[in-house]
Amino acid sequence: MSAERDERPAHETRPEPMDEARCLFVFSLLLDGRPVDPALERAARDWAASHPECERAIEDWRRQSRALSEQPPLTASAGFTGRVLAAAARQGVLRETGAAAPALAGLAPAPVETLRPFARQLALAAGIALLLSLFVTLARPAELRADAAIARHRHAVDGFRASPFAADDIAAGLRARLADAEFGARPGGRR
Amino acid sequence: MRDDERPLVARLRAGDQDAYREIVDAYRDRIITVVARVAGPGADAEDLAQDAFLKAFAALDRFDGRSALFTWIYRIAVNTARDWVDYRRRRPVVPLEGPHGGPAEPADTGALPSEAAERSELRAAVRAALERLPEPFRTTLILREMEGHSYEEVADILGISIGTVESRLFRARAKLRALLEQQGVRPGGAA
Repeated sequence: MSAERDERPAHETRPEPMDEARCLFVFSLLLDGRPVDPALERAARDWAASHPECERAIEDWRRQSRALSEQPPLTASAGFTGRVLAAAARQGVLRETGAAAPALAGLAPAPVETLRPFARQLALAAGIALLLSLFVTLARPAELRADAAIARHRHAVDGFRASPFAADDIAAGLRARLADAEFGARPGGRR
Repeated sequence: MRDDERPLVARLRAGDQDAYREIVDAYRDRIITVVARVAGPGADAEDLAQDAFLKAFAALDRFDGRSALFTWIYRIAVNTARDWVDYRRRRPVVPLEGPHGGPAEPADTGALPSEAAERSELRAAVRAALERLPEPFRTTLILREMEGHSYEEVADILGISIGTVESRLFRARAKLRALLEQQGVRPGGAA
């Protein structure tokens, strides 16, 4: 039992003079056959005897208690146990290690159990294939291709490098060549 | 845990499927009855009872044996029904009468026809008033008056102290009487 705070109000836990609430609280215990201090019980009975409203309330409680206890119980419909065990097997909450496990073998829906390992294997195979393909792609060196424009002007660049001109002149010459329509330049100077 | 329950608990933990069947067969009616009473009309008591059994099976490892096995499953059932009530309070719907929407009225054997009719009327009125009784008084009253549990058992099931059970029952009785008076019913007879 948890140590929940006692919800009883002060008038139920302190020894105080009898009043209607205290009297009814004592009778609530007596109705259920709970042990009550004899002096308190006597005081409550005396109070009730001299207060008709209190007696009426106690009598009403007796009758409503009887009406509650006479409410009929329910019974499970046919097949309830089978449905519970089938649901338990479906949700995997039944243990499978017992000697009598085959007793429920027919209740568990087979497709779920047979598809699950297949789906797991398929997912594993797909993962391995993906990793393999990534590894091959990353490990293979990329093919290096020179830009076609650079290749076309390579001989000119080499010629300038071998010339006695200063570096600035070579750069200016190259820029002029790149802008020259004769050497394939487009309007705006970009290739 | 009671000594006579130890072999059954051992069989459940060993995965003996017949032990699961024995548990459901033994407790189903009481579990269905209590969830129907706590959840009230509109609830499918068998669905809730099934949920309770599944939760108990799934949590078998956490059963520490401090209470009887039945009390432990019963507590799970009461909490399942209370959770349903909370859920339904947040999402109200128009209740439909299911197979366990309302228990059949018991036959008043040996009572005079007028007396039987009066008691049947009172039972219906008390049931209606009980639906309007707020928590936690409602469940406490159900466990004591309808289910017939001792104060100690009610305290154990709800995780509260005996003093709190005493207080809740006293207030529940007073509130139920007030609700009946609002309905124009006096359990004692003259309204």
